[in-house]
Amino acid sequence: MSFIQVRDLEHGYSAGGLFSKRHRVQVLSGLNLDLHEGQSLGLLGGSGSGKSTLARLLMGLESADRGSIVFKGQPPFLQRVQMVFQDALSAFNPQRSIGWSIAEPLRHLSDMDAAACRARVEQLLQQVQLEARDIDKLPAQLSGGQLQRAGIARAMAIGPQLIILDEALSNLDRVLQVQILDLLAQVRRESGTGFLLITHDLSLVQRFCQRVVVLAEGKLVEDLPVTAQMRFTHPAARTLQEAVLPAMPRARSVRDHVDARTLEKL
Amino acid sequence: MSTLAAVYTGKKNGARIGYGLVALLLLMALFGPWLAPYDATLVNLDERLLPASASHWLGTDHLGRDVLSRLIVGTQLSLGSVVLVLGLVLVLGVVIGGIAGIVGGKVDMFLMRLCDMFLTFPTLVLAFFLIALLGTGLTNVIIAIALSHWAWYARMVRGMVLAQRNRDYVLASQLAGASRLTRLRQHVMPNVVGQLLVLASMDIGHMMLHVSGLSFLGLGVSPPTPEWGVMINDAKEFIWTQPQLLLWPGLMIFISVMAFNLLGDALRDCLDPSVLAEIKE
Amino acid sequence: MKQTLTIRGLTLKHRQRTLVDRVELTLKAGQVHALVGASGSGKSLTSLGILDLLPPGVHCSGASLLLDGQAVDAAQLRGRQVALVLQNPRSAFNPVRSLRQHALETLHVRGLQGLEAEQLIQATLHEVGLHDDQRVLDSFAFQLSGGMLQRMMIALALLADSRFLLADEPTSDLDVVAQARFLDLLQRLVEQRNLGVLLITHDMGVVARCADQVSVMAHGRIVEQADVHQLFNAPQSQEARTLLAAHHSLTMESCAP
Repeated sequence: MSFIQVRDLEHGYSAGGLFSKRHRVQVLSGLNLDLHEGQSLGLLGGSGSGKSTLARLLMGLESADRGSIVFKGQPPFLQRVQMVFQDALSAFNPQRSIGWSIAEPLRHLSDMDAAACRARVEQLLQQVQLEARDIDKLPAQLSGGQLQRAGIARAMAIGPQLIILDEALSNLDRVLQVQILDLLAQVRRESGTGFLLITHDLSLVQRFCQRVVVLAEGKLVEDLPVTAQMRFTHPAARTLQEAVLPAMPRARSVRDHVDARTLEKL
Repeated sequence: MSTLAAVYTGKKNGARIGYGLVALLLLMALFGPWLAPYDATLVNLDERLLPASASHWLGTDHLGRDVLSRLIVGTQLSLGSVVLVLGLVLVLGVVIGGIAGIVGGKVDMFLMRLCDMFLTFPTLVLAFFLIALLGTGLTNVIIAIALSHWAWYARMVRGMVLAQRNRDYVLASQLAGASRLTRLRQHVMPNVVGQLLVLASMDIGHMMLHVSGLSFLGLGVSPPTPEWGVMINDAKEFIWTQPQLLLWPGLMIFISVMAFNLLGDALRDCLDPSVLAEIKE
Repeated sequence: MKQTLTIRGLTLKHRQRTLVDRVELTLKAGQVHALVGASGSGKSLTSLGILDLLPPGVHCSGASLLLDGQAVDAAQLRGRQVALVLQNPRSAFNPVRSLRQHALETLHVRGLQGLEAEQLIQATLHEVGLHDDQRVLDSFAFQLSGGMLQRMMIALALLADSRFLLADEPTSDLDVVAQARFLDLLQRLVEQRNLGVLLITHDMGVVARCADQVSVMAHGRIVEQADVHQLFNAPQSQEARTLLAAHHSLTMESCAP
């Protein structure tokens, strides 16, 4: 059996109120998904496709209207699945040091004492390529990229089997995105942790994931292994694929060579 | 506390002045009777309404009592009563607002309607009504003002709790396995209490005026107990001949209000992470 | 109509630290000039500095702006010849005013009112792809998606009849699909309306998609300036190489390790 089995998941919420009529928005309708241990899976979807809702349901932050999410073996499930948030700055208590926040899962989910926790935090900081002295810094003192690394350190602290990255790279620039993907690949190699990368950006999935599923219209419409030549068939998936920016600039049109004054006259 | 110290030593002069004034006031409140040069209640009709002199630095009042002594001893009551009011208001506000914000549902609705009831009355009108019920005297003034102020704080606390509850880092804490109570204690409340203290320190001036106001109207302390509001009341008859009798207690109220406002600014800076980071560097 | 906007010697300082150092670049009508660099390189400050919209504490110690060779003041350019499109579209709109009021205000500055204004607004919204114009105009900023708000920002820029557009990371907050549509729109407008665009970005993919000229910025200085093909084929500066390496590693048709 796979590590996580999702069957016939349905979920929605009521929207509207002061400015529009109250109506039900169905976000997920009949979703089926299998997550395997140690795998890096990319969950691709446009905005509003329900990706974040699925992440919240997987983490148990909300309960689905209908359907089931089954984990192999018994919980305690928070020790096996952890999450990294999109906005690093709001994911850390601004008045607590980074070290305190990273050690939080250890304090609640393990029986390590203070000294052991500190040692583990120092080890984690090193693993995510932050400096040991950052342990006492406040979130406001770190850059966006550094803070996201701290977020990953916190997710890794308890040694989970799966880490969900809920658009965790979307707020970073390209250079940082590549650095963090490389870091995650290294973590995967070293500890066998699985990853669920939720994003709208196919290029990130192609760099890091072994398998990709596409979420559209409330269900999965594609499920492919990631290869260099992969092509989607479903129109929503193809839109996402075609929206990826080109590698090289295309040859510009005759426009370049037309005299600006001539253009004015037209 | 270390952050308070950091703000003190930082570049904020207002904070230093605030701390200094509050420390001075605290000193006067605690050690008033020993610091005062004369007995604040000693009547000496031979020395009524004397102007400032070497023996009486601020002169004497209409009963020959030393004004400076009355001011110093009066600190205990004037400030003390405000602090008590504040304490009551904060406890009521945090408990009721906190429960409403955390439990939600029908409990929240009931508590907020209770707040609405108390908020409908203008503060002083409610205070008068409560004093009419309870009788005069400083204790009753404190209770009356506390009961007329708490509802606003409860609403503020409830709003803050609701806002903090859904922050990402509170969710992160949930995912780290923290229980509801732990999340409340470590993540929600520190931010709420911090903001609350800032609001409260700004409001102290307001409360002080209410306490002094009620005393001025004769509903608070009874003579000969010194208290700034009462001193203003006593001095109003002499406004044309000895205006300084009004000036000194008024000035004390002004200085106290300013001191607490500056303290409030310093507190607010303590809680602002970007200011903290700037100071740390 | 104006053809070139030249910025020379733009230097911005915060207390004693120099944040932007003697930046020089030229925008041409009908061309997209990309300004790339990593976060913190000073790109956004440069665009704010051009229009003298600096954050508190930052001051400009020297800059000259030339519109077709004539010296001009930043205040003269703002909202007329030069429009600004920001990264976070939501923050650029007044939350308590409808979009119609924003559009009318923009035209009011130009002296257009009444029926003429209404028709121009409708036409411009269609041009930027907001076909449901009445619904959009009646809405407030919080009711629309990020992509739609970005288009509205462009519409406002067009209504102001600006020849030049400074777009500061306009697609960073949008998802890939909205980004692709926005960049399509931008290119179309550059061609049809002969706009001169300064496109600030950290993403070489955006540069590859739309840019004609590229300036590379690092630590507040421009370290390389070249035609886009030249930059991609033979980058000279270390910064350009780093950015291109990250870009290519994400667009290379490769599988996960």
